[in-house]
Amino acid sequence: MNLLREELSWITPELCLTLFACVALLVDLFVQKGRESVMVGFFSLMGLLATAFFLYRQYGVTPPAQPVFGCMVVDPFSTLFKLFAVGALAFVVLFTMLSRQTRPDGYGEFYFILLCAGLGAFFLASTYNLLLMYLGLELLSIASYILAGYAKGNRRSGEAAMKYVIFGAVASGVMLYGFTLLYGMTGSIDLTVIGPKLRDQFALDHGTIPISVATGLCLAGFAYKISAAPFHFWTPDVYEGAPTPVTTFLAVASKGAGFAALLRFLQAGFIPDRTLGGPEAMMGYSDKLGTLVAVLAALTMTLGNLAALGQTNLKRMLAYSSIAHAGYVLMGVATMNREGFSSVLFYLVVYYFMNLGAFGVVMYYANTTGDEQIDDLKGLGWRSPLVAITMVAFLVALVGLPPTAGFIGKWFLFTAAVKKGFLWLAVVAGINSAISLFYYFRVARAMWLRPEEEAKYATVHASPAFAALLLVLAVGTVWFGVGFDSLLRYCDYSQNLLR
Amino acid sequence: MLSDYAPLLLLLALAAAFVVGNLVISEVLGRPKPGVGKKTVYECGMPIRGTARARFSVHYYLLALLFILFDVEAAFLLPWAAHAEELGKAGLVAMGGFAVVLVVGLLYVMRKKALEWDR
Repeated sequence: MNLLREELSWITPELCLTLFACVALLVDLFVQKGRESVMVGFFSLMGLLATAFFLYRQYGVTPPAQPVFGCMVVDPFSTLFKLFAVGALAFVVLFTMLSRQTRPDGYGEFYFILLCAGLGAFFLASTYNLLLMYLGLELLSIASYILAGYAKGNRRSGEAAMKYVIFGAVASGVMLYGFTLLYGMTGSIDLTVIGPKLRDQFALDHGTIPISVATGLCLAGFAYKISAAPFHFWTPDVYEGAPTPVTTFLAVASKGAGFAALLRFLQAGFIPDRTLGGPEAMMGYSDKLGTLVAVLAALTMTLGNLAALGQTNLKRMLAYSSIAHAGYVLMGVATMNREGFSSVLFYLVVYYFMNLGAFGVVMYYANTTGDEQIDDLKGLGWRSPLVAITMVAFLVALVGLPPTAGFIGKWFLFTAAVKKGFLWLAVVAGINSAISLFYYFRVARAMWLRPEEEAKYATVHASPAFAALLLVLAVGTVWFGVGFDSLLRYCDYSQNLLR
Repeated sequence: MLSDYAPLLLLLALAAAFVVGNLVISEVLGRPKPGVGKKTVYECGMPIRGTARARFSVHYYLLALLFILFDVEAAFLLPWAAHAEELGKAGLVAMGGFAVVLVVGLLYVMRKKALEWDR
């Protein structure tokens, strides 16, 4: 009994989230009609707040090596990603409460599924156990499929859900096959055991074909989750079709969790301990894997950016931009060292602010006008300056220009890549950033460089709550561009307890 | 290394030969006797009535799904009930948590009127 209690005490955030997901579902059943959205949303927010509190308490506590019967890992790395997921969920819930576009039949179910998706992200970020990792991935994915198709009766939304399901099923199947191969080679589903066993395999020098096949298949699954080329095809359609708050969730929380799992997977299994010195073959393999990821990164950012150039729909453009950003972040993954990985964490936090903000503006705009075309943004700058100014801040950050956080984040990614010797990759990324300036600037131009008379829609001012949300995100975007010390220290510290 | 897989290749070849061989032999030696019975989907069993595309009420599927859910619940409860004394308090708490989640589900189902056949 005491053992159970102690083991369970390590997963209080998860338990708390589960509890409040159930509460959200029940509140919806017993609250009078017409007040559901506010009430259920309120309880979901309370749940997220409580979860964040438990996470905060876990931060800095040294847990046993692997609590909860060896399944979970509680370390600053997982806590960072869980806080990241909770923050993203909170904004998604707030956006949903303020959105007029998503009028779901059941609010309870919507928030319930949203919180369950968050739970999936939690498990994905905090485990070395391949089975639990897969379970987390599926929980997150299946919840996302339902959310993507939540706008009932909307053809685009249905199409998005359908495409997502088919693509996701194939990708997770492929990944599972990779896991079984790893299990077959090492006899374990625990990455902390798989790592040393693989080292032994490398020492025997049998050749790397089986290991390469296994890693390749696993990488395919991760690449799907973070929408990296060549597994990005679902992204634009799903992002465009899904209700905007859901798109925000997919672009931020889902992608972040995917990166968390990818980093853990690579770090535990495939990065030899340089101080201990692994077998020569493993060093070589780790570098080759890095080069493969680097090529994927270059491919992803180039494809994403070139495709984004031709988009007229704002949401679709942001979808391609999120593919491009996955490419930038992969640049840090490709270094396969600590510095690169902490730059990945830093960039993801920055990405959280600017992307949530950009999607928030899209939602405000779609809400007030029912339109998502870039060209129809004409004159928005003169009509609702606050929204337009925050949008410019997010766009500048997305391009990666100072003084915003986007610049600092990219700066760390670039230095990490160059230090590792991927100068070509940094050059490709630089060219891509320049290309991205065109399509981001097109939005700013439509908003500001057209006279007020050309504005297509009458002004609808953002509600105070909404404006406050956007302001918070914009301040975050700019603030981390200047006062990034503490965040950087935290990201670096998060790498500490990882091996 | 790769030669370890030779038996696998042999198995594959044998399996393919078996299938193709049987088809060829029956084609060469067999004397075709077509008839009405042979054109039905199954050559044995009950005669077919109507098409398989009859429409069921959607409630049927809903109830079937719910049945499976609560059926599995019972399947989980039985082994615990058989060893409840040995598992003690910890087992009771764990099963209690499980039951609470299910009760939430049951409440949800009832409030959404999924169990009412006439609606």
